[in-house]
Amino acid sequence: MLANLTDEQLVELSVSENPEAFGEIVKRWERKLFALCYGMLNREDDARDALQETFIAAYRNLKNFRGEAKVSSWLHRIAVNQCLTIKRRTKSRSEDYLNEDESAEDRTFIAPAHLSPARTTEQIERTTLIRQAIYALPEDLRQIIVMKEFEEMTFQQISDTLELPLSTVKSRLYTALKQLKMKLERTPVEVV
Amino acid sequence: MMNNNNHHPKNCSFAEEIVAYIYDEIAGRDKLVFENHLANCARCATEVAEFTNVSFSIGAWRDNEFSHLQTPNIVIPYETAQTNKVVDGVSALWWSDFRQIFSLSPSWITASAAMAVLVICVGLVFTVVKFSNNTDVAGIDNSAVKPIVSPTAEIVNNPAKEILVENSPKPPNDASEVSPKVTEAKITVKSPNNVVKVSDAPKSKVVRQNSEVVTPNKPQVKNNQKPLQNKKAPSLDNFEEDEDDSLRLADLFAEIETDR
Repeated sequence: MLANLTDEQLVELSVSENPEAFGEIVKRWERKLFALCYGMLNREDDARDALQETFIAAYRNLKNFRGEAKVSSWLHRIAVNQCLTIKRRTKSRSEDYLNEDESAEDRTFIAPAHLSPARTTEQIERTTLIRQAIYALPEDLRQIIVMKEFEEMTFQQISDTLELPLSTVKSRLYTALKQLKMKLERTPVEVV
Repeated sequence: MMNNNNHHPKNCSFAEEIVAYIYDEIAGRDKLVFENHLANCARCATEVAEFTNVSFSIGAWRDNEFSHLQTPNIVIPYETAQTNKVVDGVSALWWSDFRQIFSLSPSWITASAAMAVLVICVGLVFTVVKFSNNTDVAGIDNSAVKPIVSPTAEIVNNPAKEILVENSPKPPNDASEVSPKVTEAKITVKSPNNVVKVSDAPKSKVVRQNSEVVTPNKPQVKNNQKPLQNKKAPSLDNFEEDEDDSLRLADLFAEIETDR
């Protein structure tokens, strides 16, 4: 029954202290928001924390939610704010943890079976570079590219979620891709 | 919007179409028009190839590092979130935490009930022990407490009862508790009218034997009332005599000592 309701209807039910309704909201959005948090933070643990904090903050502020905005927009905004908070907190611990060898070693990389070791090494390096390049993007550009690549949202969905014109979403994505391309060109991958 | 004849990179304005084409979000006539443009615009074609490569790299990163990750279990502290409201300037959180301690398991209820029963039992035992200790100080068995009747009046009015008492078997419990000195003593009881000597009939013994006549299960109040109905009601003088018994007993002990 809850699965047939819209996000807005679920929020209304949740406001009237129906935990199951909020559980349905969590179920719908947890994967996409996890992808967003992971793309924004580049760390699994931080992404988990951000996701948890996002839903807790959403639940505590249910009564402040106004139906003017979409629930998806509201949740994404909370998630992005949580990511920024965690990023600031992490930066205070370490200025740039992405440059640390330890953080690079901690990452898990599952190599496709069909790739040769040389090819796998190249892909690892490529992945590392793209991760660093995305992490270096401005927040607004990074958010767009993560929503597109990780959440696999359409332009229209991104436009609705961020409450931006469709053309703005496309132009930001174009700018983001262009900057990424330039960053990757500056640090060419060494082929083993 | 489309500029099909623009072959110069600096003047090319197909940015939106490029990203839409890469992500396959362009269709119909717009797609055909853009594909015609790509055939004639090297810059746009190069950008499509480069951006596709970037997108592929991001996709590889996503597939390799993110796709296999489990979505974390989200735990919403529903009770805490709802009760974390400020009520009259004091957070109600501590109260909910306090209540939560007792709501953790229903065994709390059982344990509390068992504890209460235990406390009541211990209290009863202490009360009984204390009461019995008080009676032991006077050297009288509590179970054999007699109604307040003047022994003088008892003996004078019912002399036959005295004989019955002396012949009747003695309760085993009483014998062990009565002091031998007291049982052997000759008690002289004074009444206002006449003086009666009770030979070889210690007062305590008489009193105890009388208690057998009265039903032991009946409450003490009724024991007091029954003899009073049949017998002469004790006057104030009689009570004064009873109060003086202890003094006379002391005198008796003194006599016994002198006799010896």
